[in-house]
Amino acid sequence: MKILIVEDEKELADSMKKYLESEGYLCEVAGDYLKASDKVSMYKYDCVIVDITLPNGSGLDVIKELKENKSETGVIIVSAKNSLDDKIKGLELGSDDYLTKPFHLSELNARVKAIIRRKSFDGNNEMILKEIKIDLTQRRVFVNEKEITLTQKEYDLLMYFIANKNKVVTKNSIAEHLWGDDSDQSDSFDFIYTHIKNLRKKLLDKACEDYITTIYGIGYNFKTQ
Amino acid sequence: MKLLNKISLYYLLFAIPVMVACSFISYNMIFNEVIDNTDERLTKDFEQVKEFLKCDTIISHLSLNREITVIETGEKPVSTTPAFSDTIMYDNYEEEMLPFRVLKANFSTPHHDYLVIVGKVYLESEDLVDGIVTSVVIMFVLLIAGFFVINIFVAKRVMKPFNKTLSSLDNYDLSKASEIKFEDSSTKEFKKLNDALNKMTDKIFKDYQNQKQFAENASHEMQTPLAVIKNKIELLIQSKSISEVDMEMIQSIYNSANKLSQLNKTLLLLAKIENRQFAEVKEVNFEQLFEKTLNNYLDIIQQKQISLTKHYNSDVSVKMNPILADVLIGNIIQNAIRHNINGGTIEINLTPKSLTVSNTGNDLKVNADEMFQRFRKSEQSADSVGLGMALIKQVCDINKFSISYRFENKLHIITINF
Repeated sequence: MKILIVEDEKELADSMKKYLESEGYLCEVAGDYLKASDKVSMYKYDCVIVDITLPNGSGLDVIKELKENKSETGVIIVSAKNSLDDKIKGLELGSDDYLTKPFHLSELNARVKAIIRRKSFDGNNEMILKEIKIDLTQRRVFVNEKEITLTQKEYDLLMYFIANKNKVVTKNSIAEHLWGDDSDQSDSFDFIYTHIKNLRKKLLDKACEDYITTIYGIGYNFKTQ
Repeated sequence: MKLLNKISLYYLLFAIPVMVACSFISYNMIFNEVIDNTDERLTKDFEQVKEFLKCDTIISHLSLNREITVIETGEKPVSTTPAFSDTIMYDNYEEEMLPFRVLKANFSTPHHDYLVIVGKVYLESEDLVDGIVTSVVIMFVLLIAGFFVINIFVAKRVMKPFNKTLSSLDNYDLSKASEIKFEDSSTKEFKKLNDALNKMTDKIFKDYQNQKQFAENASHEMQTPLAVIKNKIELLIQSKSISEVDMEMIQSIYNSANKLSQLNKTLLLLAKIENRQFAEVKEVNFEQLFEKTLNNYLDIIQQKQISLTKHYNSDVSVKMNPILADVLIGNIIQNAIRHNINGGTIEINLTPKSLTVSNTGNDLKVNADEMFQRFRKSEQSADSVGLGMALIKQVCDINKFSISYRFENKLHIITINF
């Protein structure tokens, strides 16, 4: 799986690269529009992460070029501009998702995974992780072939954990993922705890192994290894 | 008092002593003139009497005239110069006592010595004073009336540019992002005033714009380093060799970075709203928006055992920017949940004209009037940044909604009138 990160801020690009590489992706970084344009025309990527504001060009043009080549590449726009205009323009051009800076790496990872899954599974929307099987279309979860009923938030939480399995996921990123980045996260920590407690109980009830571990005060790890 | 009236008043105040002085002068002048005139006529009469007396005739005839008295003295006069004097005598025609000018003179013919007294009613000073006072009063009234009429005219015509300038200043709102142009005037002072105001408002407006832009740019530029900090910490905690103590430190750095990031995001949003970067307006269905937002926090509402009452008037659509509508409703709901007590209530009343959200909660620690100020927050939620209410207010202001907050019967009540 190849991913191109188009981002002029070197430190940010490095962080994204590092996190995604630890997930097993092959990552390349383009620091400006010209390099991005070159790479996009020469190589094939499964997913491109594009910053809108770039030196000597716009990220939107990179997306335009990608789509002109009828490429199947998934596109995630990453922008500091929280403007509806950029979002709409980007989505109109055919980008698949939109993330506002600053974002959590675990959130970016979850989005990348979702896009790649959508592009490559082609209707076969089942995901299996050990004894857990998830029907993505109907949002149903089975443990050892027995269905467990999750609330909407518990389902989202489980998906987020699975996307970032074997990674420490911070409480802040969970709060943002569950309630949106406008919510005041500090309020939500108690509720995250409750959700995790309930989710864990439902999984354990169906004899699922206990994958969720608490990492001190900072977050959780869905450990499958 | 109006400027014109004030000026007129000074003119009138000046006119009063001038008029009084002038009336004295004219009184004296008229009076002297009249006396001179009377004296002349008396002298003429006296000359006539002298002629008659010289002929020693018709003394009886002369005596008939009551104003001329001729008395035979029988002794040689010391002086023959006529002496004038004023006296008051009874006048038969007017049937009252009147001021008379009297000429007394000794006159000798070769045979007789006479004392001739010639008298004449002259102008009554009372009448003169009356006349002068009346004319002065009339003049004064005419002056006042004149000033009044001129003032009306001046106020309409000459003061027009001034009043225009005044009303455009009065209506000027710096945040409405428009420069004002003051019209040219042919009056020198007004022209100067408008020039000065144009210069001043231009400068204020530019400074204000720059400052707003600066606030936005500063927040914007802070986003990237904050993102770097957060992302690096996220990478750092993936390491398996971090001790619990170190992790605690990392956690507090991470929390602070998150808080800073949240704060910065909100400030940026406030600046953007102020800079009118959310210009696009659509019909926003508030009922759907409420349902969507409440649904997002449904789990928290349930966990806090808050009972929710909703009164939607069907199809309430408000013309505003959809993002700002999200911000508005999101913050109202978040506040109603965050500041609520376990087992409390939230009541939403939505009508086409207004929105009222009331919720239970702890007693108010800050002044209700200061509720919408930035960084104003109650003690219980020290973790929140204290910009929620300011954000709500800002969104309302920009959409010209009126918003009010009150604490009544242990309920926090926010009312917005569209």
